[in-house]
Amino acid sequence: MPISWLRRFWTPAHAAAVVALAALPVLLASSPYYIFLLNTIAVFAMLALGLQLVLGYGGVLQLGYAGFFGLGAYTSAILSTQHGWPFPAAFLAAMVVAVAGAVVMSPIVRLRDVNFAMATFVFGLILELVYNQWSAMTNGPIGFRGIPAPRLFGVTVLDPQHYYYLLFAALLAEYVLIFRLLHSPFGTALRAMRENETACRTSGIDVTRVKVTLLLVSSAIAGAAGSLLAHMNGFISPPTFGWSTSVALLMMVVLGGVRSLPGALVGAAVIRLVIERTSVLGQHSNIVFGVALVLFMAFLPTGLAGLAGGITAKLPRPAWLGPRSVTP
Amino acid sequence: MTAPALETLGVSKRFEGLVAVDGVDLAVEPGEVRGIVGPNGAGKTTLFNLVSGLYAATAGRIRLGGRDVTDASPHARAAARLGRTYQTPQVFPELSVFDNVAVGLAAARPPSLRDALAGRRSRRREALGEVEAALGFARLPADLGRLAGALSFAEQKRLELARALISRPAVLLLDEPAAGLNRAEIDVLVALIGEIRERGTTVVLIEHNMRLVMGLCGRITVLDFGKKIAEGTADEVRRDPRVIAAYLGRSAGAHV
Repeated sequence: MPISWLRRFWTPAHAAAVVALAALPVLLASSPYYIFLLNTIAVFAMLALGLQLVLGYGGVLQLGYAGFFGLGAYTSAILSTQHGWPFPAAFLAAMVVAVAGAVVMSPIVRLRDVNFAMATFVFGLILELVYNQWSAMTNGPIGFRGIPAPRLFGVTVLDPQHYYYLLFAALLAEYVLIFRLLHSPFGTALRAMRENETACRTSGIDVTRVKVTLLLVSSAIAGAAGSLLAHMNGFISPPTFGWSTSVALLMMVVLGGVRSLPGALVGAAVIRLVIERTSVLGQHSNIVFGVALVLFMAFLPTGLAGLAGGITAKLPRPAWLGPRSVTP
Repeated sequence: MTAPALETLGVSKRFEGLVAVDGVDLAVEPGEVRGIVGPNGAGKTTLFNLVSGLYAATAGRIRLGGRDVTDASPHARAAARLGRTYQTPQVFPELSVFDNVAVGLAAARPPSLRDALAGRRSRRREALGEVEAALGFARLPADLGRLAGALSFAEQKRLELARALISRPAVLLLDEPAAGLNRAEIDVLVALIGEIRERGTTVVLIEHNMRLVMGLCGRITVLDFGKKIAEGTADEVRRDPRVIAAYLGRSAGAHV
């Protein structure tokens, strides 16, 4: 769907989605397990949206995204358990450290295509190694326990149902921020960059700068998600932030539909549910994921969003929704 | 005396085992429409890539309006008011017509994250007006939501032109603007280039269509094997024995 700068966020579809998502925990209140699952999905939805921005829209192949998720989680865990930092400060620090990690990685934007993708993947692997091996800092494979529940405005957010609203607020803020960014000159530049870098450069776009900005913004998001995960579960360990999570995040974007924000949310939900169901397979679940990724790219390159778009385009449209074209 | 709008001093580009552009001196005065002609492989497009910064020069200097830009990046040269188009139009096929043209605004106003988050609506309305004006100037319908990939070849060329023109470049490089166009489309193009000149933009164009070159260009520069072999008015160049030899010495591509 063509995007232009003049689009507004509050469409009927967005409003309906916000109301539905706000009502979800009330509907699921009877089952603590479902609330737990919902909260996990919300954290991964934040990550999938961040990856959709950098990889889906910008075409920047960030394959080590889970490593930055880990930077946020570990920063928050270390500062709150060992240094007694309050949640808001630890949360901000988590974002700052994740951005700093991206700054360290940023020189690789000079690499092209496959080399760049490989470098990001390796950077993610190095971070995973740090989480596993630097025991003095990260407790190694044991990770951290007893990360306190966040205290906000004098209230401790302990109830998972309440925690959902904290996650929901973060997710909504992120969604609006990315929507705004995409519907701006900067968004046009990053979407154009994915299609033709040469034409961008001779049109006055500093491609290197746009790529670095994308890496930094998406890392800040990953850091925030990491912090929220740590304070939600009270427990973190290295595998959560390893390459298999990076692959799962990539799956969320591809399955949901590249260059679709709602697609990333749906992809996150579907993949998290699949992970819950296939966790009995242990290590073999990675094989299942790999095969599924290839099949999806081969047979449904536009993802679920493309599938849904194809179906709704054929349905009669109710008059109260107005004409379909919203551009510009 | 004002500085030339575009000046190259002994500019060269050496690829492994091949000198594509060999010590070319060029001085294009403000307001000129300059033609660059020469047989295939003469180094014309390489010269454009050197001027726009896609290639780093092996030797020589490049100046825009008197300012040395030899070491400047392509986007910095665009900001220094240099625009260009390509032999095969380089549009963004999966972006809308609006977005394609709006990308050109980056030359005058580099997009930043801070502006994106501030998201001022008045700015965006202003941009909409500029995009519509650029499309109108390039004789394209204001079909803003249409995908660029769905446009015809000739429309894509004019879309690319609108993108290059929206920031009002001081110097515009056109790489074979008439290639692949039919007679009626070429007539439109000729009128357009005339209007571009009237707006005060200096135009440098590579073209094989001699009718267009002779009709539009006050002065013509002839390249062969990367070297400048002749320069002058259409009549002077046409009578130059080296030019005749360069074209007639080879059977292909002789339109003179």
